[in-house]
Amino acid sequence: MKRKILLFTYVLTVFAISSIIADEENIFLKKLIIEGNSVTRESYVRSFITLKEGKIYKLDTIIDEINVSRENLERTNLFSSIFFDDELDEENNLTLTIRLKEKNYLLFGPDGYITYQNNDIHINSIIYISHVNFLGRAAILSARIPVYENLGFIIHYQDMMSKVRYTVDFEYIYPLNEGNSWLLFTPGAAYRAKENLFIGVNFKLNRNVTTSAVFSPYLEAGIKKRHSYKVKKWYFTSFSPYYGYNFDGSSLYGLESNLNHNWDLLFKIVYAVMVEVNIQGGEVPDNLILKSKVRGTHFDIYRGNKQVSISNELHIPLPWNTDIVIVPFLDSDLIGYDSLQFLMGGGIGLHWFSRYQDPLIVEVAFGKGVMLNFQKRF
Amino acid sequence: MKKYGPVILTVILLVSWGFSRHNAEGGIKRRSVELTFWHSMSIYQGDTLEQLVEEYNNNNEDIQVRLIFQGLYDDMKIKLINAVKTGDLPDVSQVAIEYLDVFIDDNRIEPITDYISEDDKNDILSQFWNGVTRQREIYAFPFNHSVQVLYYNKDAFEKAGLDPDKPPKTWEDVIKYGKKLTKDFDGDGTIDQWGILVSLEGVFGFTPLIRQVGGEFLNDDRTKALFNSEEGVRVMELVQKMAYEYKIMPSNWTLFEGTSAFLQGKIAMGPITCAGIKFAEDNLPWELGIAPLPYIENKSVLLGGAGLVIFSKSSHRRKAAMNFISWLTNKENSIRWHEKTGYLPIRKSAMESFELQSFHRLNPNYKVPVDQLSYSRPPDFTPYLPQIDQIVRYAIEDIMINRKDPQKTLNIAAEKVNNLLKEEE
Repeated sequence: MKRKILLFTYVLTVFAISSIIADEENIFLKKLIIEGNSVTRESYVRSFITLKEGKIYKLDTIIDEINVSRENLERTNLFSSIFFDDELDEENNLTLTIRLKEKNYLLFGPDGYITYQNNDIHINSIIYISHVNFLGRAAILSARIPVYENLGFIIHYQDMMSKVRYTVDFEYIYPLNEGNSWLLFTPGAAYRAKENLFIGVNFKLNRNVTTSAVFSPYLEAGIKKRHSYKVKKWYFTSFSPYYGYNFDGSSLYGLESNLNHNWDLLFKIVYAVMVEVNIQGGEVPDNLILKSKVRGTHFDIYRGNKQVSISNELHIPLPWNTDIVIVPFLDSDLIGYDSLQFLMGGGIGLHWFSRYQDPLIVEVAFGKGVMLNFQKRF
Repeated sequence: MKKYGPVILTVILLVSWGFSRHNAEGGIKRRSVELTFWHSMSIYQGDTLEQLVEEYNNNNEDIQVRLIFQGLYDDMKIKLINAVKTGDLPDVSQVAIEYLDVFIDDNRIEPITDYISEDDKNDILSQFWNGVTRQREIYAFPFNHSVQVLYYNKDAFEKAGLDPDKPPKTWEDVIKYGKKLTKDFDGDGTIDQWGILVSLEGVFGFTPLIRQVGGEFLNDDRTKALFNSEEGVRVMELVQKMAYEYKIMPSNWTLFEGTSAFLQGKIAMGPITCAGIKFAEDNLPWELGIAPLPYIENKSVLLGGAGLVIFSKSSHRRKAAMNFISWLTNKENSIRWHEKTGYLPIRKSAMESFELQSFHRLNPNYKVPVDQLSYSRPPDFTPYLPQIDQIVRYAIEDIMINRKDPQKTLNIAAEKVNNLLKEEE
């Protein structure tokens, strides 16, 4: 009998102790407060938070979920600082305040180039302005306005709802010197199948000499920018076959593909290589024909329906000011119709990361000519 | 348009006058202060400090802080000594804790004990207060503090057949690991990868190792050198053996040379300040491992770094300076400072926060120095510490580069130190 009483007492004690321990570990998330989001919608921020008000969590789970939520918020690229401030009362009721610092969302600057080749000067100049947190939910609205040689506008809109990304591009260009004007309207949608994998489709309506409708499914994988310096290798690739119908009865088809791979070598010095392979067939409208991508050579002169472009860049941040990055580069292009022409060019660029530009790029390139470039590459 | 010109001009003038009047009234009420803040934080640490100060300035109209970089700690000390002579002292300055006594000794700074709130006194860990307190008076506010940790190259560990998740715990382990990690890859007779570099940078490298075998650097009254004791000799013999007997470390490299070699992958392990973790993680192409500083018998690390000294004499400016310092070192900023630089968080509230716990779960390297705090101690303070440091550096160089006898060399150095301390008496 004594043994039974002892055993019963032992079991009861163990149960009581384990209950106390379990109780201590349980935390009730009483309130979740979002602060510092003057532009970003609170509902948009909350959609990234995996912790829910009114639920009971173990401490370990809270710590893990804070990290998941933080990473979700970091991936939006909207905030310069994300801070989780906790206030835990004696009864283990938690008030969690997420303190955000928003980045500058309005970017603007010049975009274009000046090329001197065969005693001719070609100027292409555009002013662009973009809002990268439009409607307070990381939608992108950008406008590019040509200010030399061409008139018109290029408007881009991108939004993400749940797992679907919507894009709309609207472009109207009226050349002042020669060539035909064109109107291009491209709505598209892509489904995020995995964290860094999109499967999408674009529908392009193009009015040049003839009107064309181009259907292009695509696959995108990887990231264009790393969100932490701890990431030492990253890539972005896309693959898109397309088919189009010209309203004069002819058709066009082709394939666009690219791979952009980056390696952080040492001290934030990054080697970037971009390979593009493009093939076209059928009757391609003039404004959609492949053009050379070699910097230092006037893009419009060298055209074709087959193209392999390779671009190599070394990004070297200045040790005393890492906002300024020196970028030597070497481009090559194999382009043409039946016989392909090899082009090569290289030069040096300066990338300045400021709060209004990400980044502002100035390049001097030597190829078939000389080029002063303000154009963004990636 | 011409018709409305005068009307528009009048409206603009009236509005401007109204605004200027409003501002002028505000100015009288507010009595704004511009504080100068001299600092020693370079590259990414300087960038982080700049961001913090900019944020403070944007949110405080009454107090504006002007940040001026004055070189590293040694340069800063010289500039401050000169500024004392000319009277051009800043309102606030970062001063290395080992140089604090230089200014306290001559009454160049006044204690700030009464300006510190009870909340701050209780929330900041006693180890940090110990570094800035002399005879029960606080002379600086703890700010950027660090301890040495063992940096190691995880890739090199894997290549040598060592488990990268099991770094050495003791100096005996270091010798075992070092033998496996020291490599002449191309067989040309020159070592391409050294196992370790223990660069005993004067007082700061030597003191924790003496304490690890139960010794002390100076006596409690700071009147006598103790580093030439049996314990000190034992430490120097151990380090000398690593270079000449076990041949796992170069004998004549400075900390600077060693750090550069470590970054290039030419050294597999080395004790380095935790303030470099952020830089190393961001910039190295291989995976960095951080382990507690190995111990001989007892665990001990030296707590170094700098505090914020208020040089202003006027009560108004001192209060403004304290307002800025309290903000700069508050819970949130203490955590941000740790996350962005590798310096230690100074507050209990910061260490217990979910924010820091979640950061450490993803970044375990940053947690290692925080865990070492329980057995960290500042150096043995004396106004002569800079001179003593020089004497000890020369002695260590003699032992390591010229392979001199540790006992005799340390005895000579101790005699010089004792003479110096006698002058103080």
